[in-house]
Amino acid sequence: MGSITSPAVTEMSRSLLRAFEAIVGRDNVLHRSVDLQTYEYDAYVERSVPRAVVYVHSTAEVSAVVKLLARERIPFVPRGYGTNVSGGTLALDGGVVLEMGRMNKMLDMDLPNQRVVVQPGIFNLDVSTILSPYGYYYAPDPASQKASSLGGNIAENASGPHCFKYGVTSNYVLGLEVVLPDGEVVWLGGKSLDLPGLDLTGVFVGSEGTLGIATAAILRILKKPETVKTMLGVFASVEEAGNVVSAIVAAGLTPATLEMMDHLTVNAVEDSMACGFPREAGAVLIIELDGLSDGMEETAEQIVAICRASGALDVRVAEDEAEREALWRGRRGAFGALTRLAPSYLSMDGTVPRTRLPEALRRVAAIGRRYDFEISCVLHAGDGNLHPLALFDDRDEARKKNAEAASMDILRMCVELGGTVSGEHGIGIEKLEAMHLVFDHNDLRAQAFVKDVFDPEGLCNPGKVLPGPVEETAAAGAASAGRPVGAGGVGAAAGA
Amino acid sequence: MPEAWGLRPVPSGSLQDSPVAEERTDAIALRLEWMIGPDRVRRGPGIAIQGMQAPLEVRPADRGQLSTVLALAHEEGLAACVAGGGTKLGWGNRPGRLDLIIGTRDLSGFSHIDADNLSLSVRAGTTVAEACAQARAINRVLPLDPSHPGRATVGGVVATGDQGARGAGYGGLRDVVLGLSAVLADGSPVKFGGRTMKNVSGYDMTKLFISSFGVLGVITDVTFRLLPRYDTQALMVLPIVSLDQGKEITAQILDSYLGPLALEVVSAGFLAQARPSGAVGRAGGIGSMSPRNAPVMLAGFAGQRAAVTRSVGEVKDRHSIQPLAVLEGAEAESFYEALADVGADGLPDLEEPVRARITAPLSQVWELARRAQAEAGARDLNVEYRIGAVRGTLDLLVDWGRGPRPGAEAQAGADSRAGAESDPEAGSDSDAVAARLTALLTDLRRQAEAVDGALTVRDGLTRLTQGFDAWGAPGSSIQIMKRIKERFDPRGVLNPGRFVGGI
Repeated sequence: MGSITSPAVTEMSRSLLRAFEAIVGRDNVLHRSVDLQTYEYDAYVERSVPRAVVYVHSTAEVSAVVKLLARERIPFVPRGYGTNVSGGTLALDGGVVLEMGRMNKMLDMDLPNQRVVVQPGIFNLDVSTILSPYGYYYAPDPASQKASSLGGNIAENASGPHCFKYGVTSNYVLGLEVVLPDGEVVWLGGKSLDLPGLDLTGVFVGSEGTLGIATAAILRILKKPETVKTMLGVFASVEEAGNVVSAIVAAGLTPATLEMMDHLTVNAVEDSMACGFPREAGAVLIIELDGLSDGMEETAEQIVAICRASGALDVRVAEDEAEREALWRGRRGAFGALTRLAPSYLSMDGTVPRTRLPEALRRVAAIGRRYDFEISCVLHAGDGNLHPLALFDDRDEARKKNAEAASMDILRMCVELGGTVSGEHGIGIEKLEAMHLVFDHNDLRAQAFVKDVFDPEGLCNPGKVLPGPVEETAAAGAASAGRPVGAGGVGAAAGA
Repeated sequence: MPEAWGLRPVPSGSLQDSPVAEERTDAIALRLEWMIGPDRVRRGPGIAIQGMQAPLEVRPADRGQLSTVLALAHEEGLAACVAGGGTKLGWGNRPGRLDLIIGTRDLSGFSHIDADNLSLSVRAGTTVAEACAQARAINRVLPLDPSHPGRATVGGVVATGDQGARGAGYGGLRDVVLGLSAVLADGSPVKFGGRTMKNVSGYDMTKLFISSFGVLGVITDVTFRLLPRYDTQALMVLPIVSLDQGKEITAQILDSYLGPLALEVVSAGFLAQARPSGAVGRAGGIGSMSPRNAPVMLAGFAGQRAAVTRSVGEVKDRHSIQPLAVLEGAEAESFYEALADVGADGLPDLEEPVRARITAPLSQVWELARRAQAEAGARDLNVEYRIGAVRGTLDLLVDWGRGPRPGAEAQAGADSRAGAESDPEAGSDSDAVAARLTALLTDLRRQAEAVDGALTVRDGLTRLTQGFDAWGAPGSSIQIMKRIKERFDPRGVLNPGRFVGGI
């Protein structure tokens, strides 16, 4: 596995270590190389050893540590539980990791206003677990919800199966306490909706830890649905299942989830945990309905009819909570199960308009053949979000390179079909080049403005999201002020 | 007046008086005419923004022309305000300076229609009503319910984040926009987001532009997520005796499994302004159905027939409340539209009210509404209100109600306030009325801000004491906002001084 650590990494000076220890306590600073190895990787394929790891326990500690780092001009990165799949939590160039896991409390539960306030180190699933006795839950449910932190979810604007109906993390984060890259503490947004001013909360969510460190978040919570009905559609091929997804959406039905797994994935899941998926399936769809019990039967029948009409081999309805749990355990464990098949894997992430799903799946298979990979596919099909997975042995550099090339081809295909290069895994270091597939100079320059305002020194998780320095030149359109531009000059916006 | 055209703040729209400025205006106008065509440039005072008039108005034909116009404005340091349907010219603070109005109405139509993907890309100058009709034509719902949908443009609604009653079910603008294109203040065209629900490619710049009041760039094209057309809808009009009862019913509905499309409590006077078409309108409107001068609650549900029937039944039974009406289908639709359109052609029974919106944690809006009524009464002012119970909004219409008419007071010799000269309607106000209105809004703003909310003036700022800010106290992140504005618009071209914290 490659290491992208720059050789210029120096050890922390003793005095700086002492200064960190004075802030967070002696046991909360790691600097010996044996301790740092745990933090040299996340769920992506690259590695980079941090200069030090500092466990932080409060906003005040984060602020003090960041002020010190800013003074010394040392880069840093916040880290939750390291589940990032695009290298976003790697500390490049000898950066310092701020480990947020100790800040894992729910600070406030305000049910009358349907809000909770949490610290960033809380597990995603814990938020809903705490709320469950009161009849509420937190909607965004990434497959990693048992293992990923809310702070990481915010950094990546994570989503999950239920985002088809309920939206993504940014729809649920209303306010943030943020330690800026110079150590100052500010609040963005708040408990109320639509507060006047620029939506800094909106732009912070999904900024991959490059604009500052969130130390508390105000979340919107939802009342749990009255009824949930989970169905499993079994199909001969991924294209057939893809057609059903398009048909369900086109029919105006809004299931809570529309998740797909292909043949390889189903079998890997069954090998590892036996959830009851039919091994002969070319693809399965997990379709979940939620809401009022009234009318749900009718919707379920409509969906069954659409599945049957499209040639489903079987459609089953989960009879009880145990069956439902089993289906979801399999789906959430799909990546884990697949990774048992090879020493390493590259999990890809692209999105297409949901109507283009069958075509996208055909082209993924073709790209796999071209690079001689058996690419398995897990999809948030309702959102047109594909996760092809290439399995390989990372000791074989050529295979790794091929996996990365296949990934780039898949992303290019997604953009051609009207989609984008990341649905939920983020850009990190993995997709810096792919940013050019969707953004031109002006688009990147505007994003660089934001980075520069929050982090003028470039210390906060450097080397992520934005591909290289964007020069400060004015746009092509801007330079044309002196001459006439007709209707065809810059062209009407079409690609939004 | 010696100052050059637009190079430093000018107190009022009087550039035309200066011979130097006039020469400069001519030169700029000629360049604009040459660039985008003479029929797209208009000289002389036209649209006024809070009493300030621009010497020039342009209507670019497309994104390319808009880009050229902004590049020129950037180069020359002109101050420009953007106008779509002109329904929100009264929002925000008075511009620090104003040289140019950019009309966006000609950037209209649809750049992408995809019913099966549930997405629709609309050019900014298209009216909300046109965009909603397009969605209906493909059997979908565009989740927008802003004020004055017949005139408000998509660009203006996105730039201001305006959302009304059905926002309870639809969500806010930040929840329904998938992507947008804009032209930045220096003329550079940009695009962010896309046509998919999930998109984490780069920063979520789309969010930064939504509700940014046009200070970063001019939005040219917006992609929305669509909803399937609902089977059935029902809008219950429920008589309630007090705000307390409204709060109680609301709390129970919010804690139930029901998911209302709209949940509002509206004062009788506000409701009387809503003039729906159809049978309800012909019967004199909902207001006339209310036996007393009491507020009513509106509870709207939409979706499958069985679910809607259950919802309506549950609200009736649980609260033993007999609705004044249950509107269905087109009747419900028309009622929502009438509610959104209150004040579109002036307000028949109110004297030039000040409009304000309070946003607050949703359990707090009730106390704020109660306080608004009490404080208005104590100041001899009249307040009509509308509570959005799911999103935590309180819309206020404040006028001088039963007090002495302002015309009489004006004759008592009070000086007219700055800005009143160029706003003929405001000329009849007096400092005394302005002081009362301002005191009321100051009090309510303090209450709202104390509970992490805000009060925003949406119309009638010129009728308040000068210096009352349209947006209120900016939070601790204002310095970041200012720096973002400086990076995106270093020469202060777009809406200078009109937004939060003087941005």
